[in-house]
Amino acid sequence: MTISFYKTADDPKKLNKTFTNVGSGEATLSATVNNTDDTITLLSPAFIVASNTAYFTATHIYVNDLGKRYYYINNITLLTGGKLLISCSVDVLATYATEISNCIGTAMRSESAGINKIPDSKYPVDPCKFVLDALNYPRTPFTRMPTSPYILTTIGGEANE
Amino acid sequence: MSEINTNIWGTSENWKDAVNYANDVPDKEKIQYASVDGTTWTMYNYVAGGRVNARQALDQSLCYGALGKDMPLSNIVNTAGAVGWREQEDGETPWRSYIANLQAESNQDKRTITNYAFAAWTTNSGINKEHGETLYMRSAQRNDRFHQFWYPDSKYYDLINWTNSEKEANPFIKSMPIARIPVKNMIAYPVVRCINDVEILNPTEKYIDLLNYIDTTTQYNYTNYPYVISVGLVFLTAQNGVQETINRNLTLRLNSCMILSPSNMLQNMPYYVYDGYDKNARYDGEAYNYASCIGKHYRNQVSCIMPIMGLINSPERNAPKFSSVNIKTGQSGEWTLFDVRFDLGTSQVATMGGGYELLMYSWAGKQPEIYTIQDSDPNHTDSQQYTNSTQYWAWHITASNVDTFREEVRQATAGFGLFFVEGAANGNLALDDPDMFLGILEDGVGNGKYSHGEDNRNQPQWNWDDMHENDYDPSNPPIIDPNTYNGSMSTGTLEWFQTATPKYNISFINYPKIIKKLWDCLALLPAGDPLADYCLDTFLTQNPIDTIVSLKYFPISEALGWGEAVTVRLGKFDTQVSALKAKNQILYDCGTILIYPRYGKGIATWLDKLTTITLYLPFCGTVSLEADKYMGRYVGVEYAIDLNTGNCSAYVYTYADTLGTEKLYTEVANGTCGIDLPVTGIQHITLDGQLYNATEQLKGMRVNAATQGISQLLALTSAPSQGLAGGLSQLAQTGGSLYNMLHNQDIAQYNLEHTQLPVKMIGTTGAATSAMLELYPTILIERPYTDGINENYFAHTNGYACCISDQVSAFAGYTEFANIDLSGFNATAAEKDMIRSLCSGGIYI
Repeated sequence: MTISFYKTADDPKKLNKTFTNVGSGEATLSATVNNTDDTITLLSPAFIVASNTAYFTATHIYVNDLGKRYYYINNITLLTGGKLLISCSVDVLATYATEISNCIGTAMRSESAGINKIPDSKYPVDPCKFVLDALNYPRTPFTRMPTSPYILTTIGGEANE
Repeated sequence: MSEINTNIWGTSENWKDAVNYANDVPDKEKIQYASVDGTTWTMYNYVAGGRVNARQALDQSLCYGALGKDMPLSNIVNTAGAVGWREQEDGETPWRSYIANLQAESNQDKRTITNYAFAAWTTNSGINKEHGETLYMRSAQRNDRFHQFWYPDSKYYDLINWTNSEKEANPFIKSMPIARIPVKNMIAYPVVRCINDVEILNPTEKYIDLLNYIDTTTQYNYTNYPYVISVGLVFLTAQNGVQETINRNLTLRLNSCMILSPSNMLQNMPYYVYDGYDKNARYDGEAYNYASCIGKHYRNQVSCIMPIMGLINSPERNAPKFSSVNIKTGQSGEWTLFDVRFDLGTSQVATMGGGYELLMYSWAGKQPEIYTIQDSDPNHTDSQQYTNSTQYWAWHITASNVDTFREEVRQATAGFGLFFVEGAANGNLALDDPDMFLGILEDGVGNGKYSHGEDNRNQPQWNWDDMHENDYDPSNPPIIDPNTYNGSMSTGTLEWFQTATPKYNISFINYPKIIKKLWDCLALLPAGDPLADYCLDTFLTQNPIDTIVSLKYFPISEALGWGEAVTVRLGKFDTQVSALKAKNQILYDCGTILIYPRYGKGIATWLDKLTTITLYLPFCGTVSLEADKYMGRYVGVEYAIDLNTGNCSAYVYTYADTLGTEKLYTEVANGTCGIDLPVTGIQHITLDGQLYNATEQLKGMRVNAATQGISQLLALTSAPSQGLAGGLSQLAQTGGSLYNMLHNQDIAQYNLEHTQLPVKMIGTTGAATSAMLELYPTILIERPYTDGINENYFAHTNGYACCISDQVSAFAGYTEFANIDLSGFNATAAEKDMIRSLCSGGIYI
């Protein structure tokens, strides 16, 4: 089967990774991993492929015949006869990126949505430091220099209205 | 979609097929009539025929919709009452008579839901006919040709025979409820009925759609026709055509909106009971048409509108004529009160009956005072012309309230849950055009809210074929909050507040003159006059200083006095010192400050709620403002200062959410801003007392001294054996008392000569320290410190706490999912577990 080699600088947790193709080649499934008794599985296969120096920069392989899956390259073993043993494990995010994007989920933490909407215990608010500011109202009835400030109340005379 | 209640409408076998419908209309859209047993069913027939039980909730298929409590038709003011009946001369056939004993009634108990149905009467002649002809409309379809239909039955004119109406049931109650209205092919627009003047005889009346009415560039608008009598609806519909080429060129003039819960006897439970031939029938037991258009018999008449606010009803054939005498009889703000007169000719009395003369009105919840119609003459005969009148409030529209008027008309229209525009010129707009509105129904009830433009697509009506897909069921109405949250608070000074003690406002220039006058008053004492009498006569007290009740200093920039200058009087004594009369209270608004949510850039976040807000109020201390309550709000301060006592109160206010301009006072702090100043003056009465006492004491001393002295001397000379020495020694022994006597006498003399002028103090220095602190109300805000946080790094590696459900693709960047539904694609269970685990731990989208 044909396997394609890709490299990416994206974080393994990234959903929509950007891949750069570094080559492809015919490969056979290895019956064992590293010639040990470990059996290979669909999600953790191993491939034997003819050696190509370009493959040493790859981070992923894509195998159309195994359900169009992307795999992480966990290890490359140099075999005799110019062959390489590629040990892999499935990258579910890369394989099912489109399908996952269409799923519905409830996000509890997000870089982009709902910022500061609900209390966040992880948010590192300084517990000891506060910002103190003042705002004066635009008007006041009071002054220290009133021109006619005295109210004298007496008896007699005329009542005020 | 609700099923047709066959108990009311009959079974489909009895429904007639219509004629003249397009051949390409599918069978299900055939025009049908509900004509059971050859009888056209009316509201009256339903009950009389036993198809609707009296005093039970009206069937959903008879009820088109529901209006919320704040809609004008839910707040109708009924100015007319029962219809009187008079039997014909044969004693058997009731004679539908005349207006009798009409009395004003008010809708004391607001209905929380008002059930209604539209009723058709006069319509466009192009497709609807009257007076014995068949009325029908063709059905409406979505995404296809447009037709209209009234379903089940709208054939009713056949039975109206005006020449023989006395043999018939009240034709008014023959209005057929239109239970199914094609939602997307019946566009309403409001029309304003208005007059140009209220001070002239026979003012000109106009019917102007809202779009033109608010436009001052049109020939007739609110500037030249400012007095609004009522607002009604006209409907536009397309006869045929596809949606892309919609041409709503047919005008439907429905005559009435039937209020199906006429009284408050059953709150929210409409029912219909009509004992049509019972002369004792009362309207409070009947469901009847509350609204009818004016000029019913004039097809295409521009005046035929279905009133929804303002003047709702009128005599059948005669619109209320505005009185030719004293049109305007009162004014209250934007509301003008004027006469409405009924003119009923003789023949009209005979043919109409009293059922129409129900003058009702409602202005968007405003209920001005009601006026009673004069009692009519119960012995009126049909040959006599009848004229009566009542009064009515019209809304005076000006530039200052035209926007309010426009919004209230929109809300009153929106309550029906239909698509609507503001004028005929917008009649062909697409249903999601920005100027196309759609009433929002909440639990099937219209409360005046509306959407417009593309938001219309989010309303359920967008997907309805007809309005009967509204789930509202009058027998099971939703529970409505009966409160109308329009409360407000206000402040004000006390009117006609007078004190028995005069108060003077004295400037700092005249202040020293007054003080000096307090000491000068004794200099006025005429020689020889007793001081006490002089003081009592001049100062109304024996103690001049008692004329002063208080002297206060107010550190206030506002004027404390008013009116013309006067001179300060102490009792009767005129000091000649100029002053003003002092005010009693002062109210002062210091303005508002927005408590701005800093962390959410205008929208309050949890970080803003960590803010501590303290409001410092001069002279009143500090008030803590809860961040939960005030974040994002304007907070104002208002001072109320009492110049009598020197007390002040600081009122903290914000604005209501429902009525955004109304102040709500949420906090009060009290204090004292008037500084008492000590005043001294002659304590006259004490002075008099001291002088008197000192004089009497001296007198007493002298008498005593003389008496005792002689006795002592006699005692001394009575013992010659003791000789002078003995006498002297005795004298010495007794000399203490003699000495004391002489000494006391001297003291008394001294006291008299040295009586000090007693002074009296009024007031103590206080509140001055508060005046030395900040005099502007100040908000102190203490916020959490977040400057040390790199928001971008934090967001990218932690994300912000949230709880949002959406498609994964709607999020961006670092995201952690509590749960994700991985349906819809093929992956092994192990792979899905891996996906779920990764999403829970956080992925980059």
